[in-house]
Amino acid sequence: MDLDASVRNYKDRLRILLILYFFGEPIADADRPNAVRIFRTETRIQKIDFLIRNPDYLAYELLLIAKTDPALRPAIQSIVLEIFNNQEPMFRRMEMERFFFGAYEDIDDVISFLKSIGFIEFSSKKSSDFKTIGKQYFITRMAEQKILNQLQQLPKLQWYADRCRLIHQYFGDLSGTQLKVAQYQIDEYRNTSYNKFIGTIEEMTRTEFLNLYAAEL
Amino acid sequence: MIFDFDDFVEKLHSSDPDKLPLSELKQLLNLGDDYTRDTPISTGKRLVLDRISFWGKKSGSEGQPYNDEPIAFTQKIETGVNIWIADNFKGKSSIFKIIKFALTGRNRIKPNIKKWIHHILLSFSINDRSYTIYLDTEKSLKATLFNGVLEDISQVGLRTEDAVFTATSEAKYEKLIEDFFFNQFSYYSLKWTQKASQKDKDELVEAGASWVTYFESIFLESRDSASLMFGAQSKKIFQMLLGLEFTYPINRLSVEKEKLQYEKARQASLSEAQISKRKKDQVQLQTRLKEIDEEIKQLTMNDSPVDTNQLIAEYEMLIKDIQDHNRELLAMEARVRTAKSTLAEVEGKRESRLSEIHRLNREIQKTDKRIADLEEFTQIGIFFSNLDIKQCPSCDHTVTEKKKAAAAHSHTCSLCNDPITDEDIVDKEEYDQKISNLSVYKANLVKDLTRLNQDKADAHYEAAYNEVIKAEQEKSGLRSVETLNERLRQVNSELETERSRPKPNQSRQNELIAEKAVVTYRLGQDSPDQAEATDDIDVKIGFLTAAVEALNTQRFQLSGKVLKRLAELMLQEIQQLGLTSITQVMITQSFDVKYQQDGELIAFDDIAEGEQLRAKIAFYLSLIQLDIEYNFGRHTRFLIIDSPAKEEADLTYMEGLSAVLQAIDERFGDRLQILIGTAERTLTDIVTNQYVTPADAFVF
Repeated sequence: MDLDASVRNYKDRLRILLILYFFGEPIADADRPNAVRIFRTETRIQKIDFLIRNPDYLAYELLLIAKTDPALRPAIQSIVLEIFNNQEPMFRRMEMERFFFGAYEDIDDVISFLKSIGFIEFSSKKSSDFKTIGKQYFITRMAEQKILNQLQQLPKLQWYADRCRLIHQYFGDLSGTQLKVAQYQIDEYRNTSYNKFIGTIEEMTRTEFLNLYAAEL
Repeated sequence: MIFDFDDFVEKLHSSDPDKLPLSELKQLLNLGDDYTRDTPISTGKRLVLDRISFWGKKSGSEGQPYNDEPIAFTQKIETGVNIWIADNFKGKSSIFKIIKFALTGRNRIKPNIKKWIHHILLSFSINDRSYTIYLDTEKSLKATLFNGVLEDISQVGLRTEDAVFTATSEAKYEKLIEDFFFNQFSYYSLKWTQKASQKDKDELVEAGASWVTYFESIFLESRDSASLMFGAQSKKIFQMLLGLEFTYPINRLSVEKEKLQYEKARQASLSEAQISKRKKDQVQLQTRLKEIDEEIKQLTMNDSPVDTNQLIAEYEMLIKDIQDHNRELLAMEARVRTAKSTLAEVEGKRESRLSEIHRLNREIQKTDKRIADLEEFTQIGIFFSNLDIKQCPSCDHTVTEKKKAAAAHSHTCSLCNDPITDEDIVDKEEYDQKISNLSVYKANLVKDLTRLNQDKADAHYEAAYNEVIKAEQEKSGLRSVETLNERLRQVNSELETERSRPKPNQSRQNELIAEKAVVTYRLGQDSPDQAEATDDIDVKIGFLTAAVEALNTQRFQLSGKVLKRLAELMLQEIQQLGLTSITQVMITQSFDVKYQQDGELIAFDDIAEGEQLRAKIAFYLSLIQLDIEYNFGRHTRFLIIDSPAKEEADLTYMEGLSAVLQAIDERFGDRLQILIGTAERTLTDIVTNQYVTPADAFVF
């Protein structure tokens, strides 16, 4: 495996793990003594992942929130400013292809890996036509310990945890389908055809910011 | 120019005072005002074609499939270089021949096409005055020159009051249009002598260069490329175009000399009988001559000569002013050009610098991202290190400690059993090294960027840009030459009026002069004393030869600068056209052009065939430039060059030609007009005014 693919592979593992952890809900289930959190549906993983990988979309959707909720405007202004000041749309961007139902990337390998090292458990049901549905991911205590104890000591990975918290703060309550609907509001996203990379909306975000705050990004 | 005729004659006479009385020598050499007729100073006039239109019908003949297709061709023509691009035999040359027909009355259109053309309308301007020539060629020629612009033949009937003249035959039109252009450009007919064409006549007649002859210096056809100028009278054309001082008297006296030489030869063959038979007329003729001389003397005394000296002085002053002004303008243009090329250079540097800055910024960003990726990679590696494989993600079976130990021992994967190589083990140190290398690389990029950002290029650009603006402003602020030109035209026309004003007793005087010429001629011809007469003729021939030589020498001295400048311009043009092997151009006293090639002086005819056309184009371009840059010469500043690339289309030549045409268009576009016809498509898009006909299509 070449270095680029390895880097990507590693990043995928970390991101997906953190999404499952930060967006999962605490549980206590006697049948699964190792599980501390549960995360439902793969769609939700994909949609949250999209926001992490595309800071310009995140900023844009934050601006849409600010538009409808004036109370949040000052906070969102400084978040968006920081995203752009740090050149995140360029530095942090990891392109994602559009699939049938929006942004999607095969994460089976990642899930398998996390499962093999005992970080997650996984269950699904088969529908009558043998499609896998209702995927549930359980985060184990071991994973939680690792995240709580070791992640803080790795400064370069802090961004991922912070970003998850941020997205959770503004979009944590939304289901995968709701997130998808929100993302579909954006032309560039909606108009990207099947199997093509979803393009950047940096310029559109800058315009929106200018309209809202009368200042340039 | 001031010319003292008496002094000139006396000096000639003193060289051999006993041969001929001074009064007779004066009579022999007297040409009146015509000694000072020539001036090399430009008239400032130029010919510009504005539009050529013609109508007719492509009447078919046997084997030709033209179904009486109508022709309605019209083409606006601009100042500067105009290029017609079309394949060979598609009508380019015909357009030029139609233009020539309209401008000279000489019809050299191909016979089959001649039949097709029924009406021609050609608008042109001489300085700010517009004229239109209309030719009705359907039956016998009917030609009219109009003042002003006629847009369409429908206006011909409505504008009769604007007609300058109308001619109803080719011969008449040729004469009238010649008078018109001779007058406009101060041309006149330089003469030569030739035997009468009738075999039974033993006479020498005068022939003269016509407007058609001079037009050969305007219309350069590719077939003529083997001679520098057209025909046997090429030097006459050259002299006329230069208008050097004394050209007229040199020509006139040379013709007289030739006539005397012929007379001498003829007399030698006269029989004794004829001599005695004519002897008796002598006394009568002598008496009549005395009477005539007496009467002329009387008339001349009554005729107070008008003083035109003041006008001439003002004229020369104005010319000097205009020349000064032109020099100033040219210097300013040179400055603008230099400023522009400096700007272009600085701009080029600035652009490459900006694109380098852009590249460096992107490279720095990329490196930053790469470093960040690798740092994340190693830290994620740490995060997931020291983890045991616990379960198969496929079958959910637990991986036992025993299995793991066996896998470790055999260096295989405890899940898939594939061998594990060193490559699969991430070595943190290796990646740290990569990161540190990238950091050094980035630091170098930043250093380069800083250096580029400190570059003063922007300041240079500002300075160069300001210089262009400043030079342009100063150029546009130069005083207008129009007022000077206007005054020059006034003075010129006053002078002309003065000269052509019928003086009192003029007609009687003219009659007497004419009669005197006849009587003198008959006296000379019928001299009873053959030996004495022949001696007399010899003396006259001797004096004429000396006079012509003296005038020639004076002309060459006076014109040294003009000829030197012309030679320099020719060399410059020739080299730009790619003939760098020619290192010097010289113009001799007898108007031969000599080229120095490989250390030897050669004539135009000795230049390699493939290079003659270039030398020729260079010759005419430099004549025009002489007028534009130094205000010398009388070229109309209008050229037609048909197929300049036909025979010499090698790469250097084409590049040279393109460059020269482009440069001429850019530098002199508003001061000359050149029409070019070519089949060479590499000449496409080198100038703005081009008329491209697609491959295989007809121009009309």
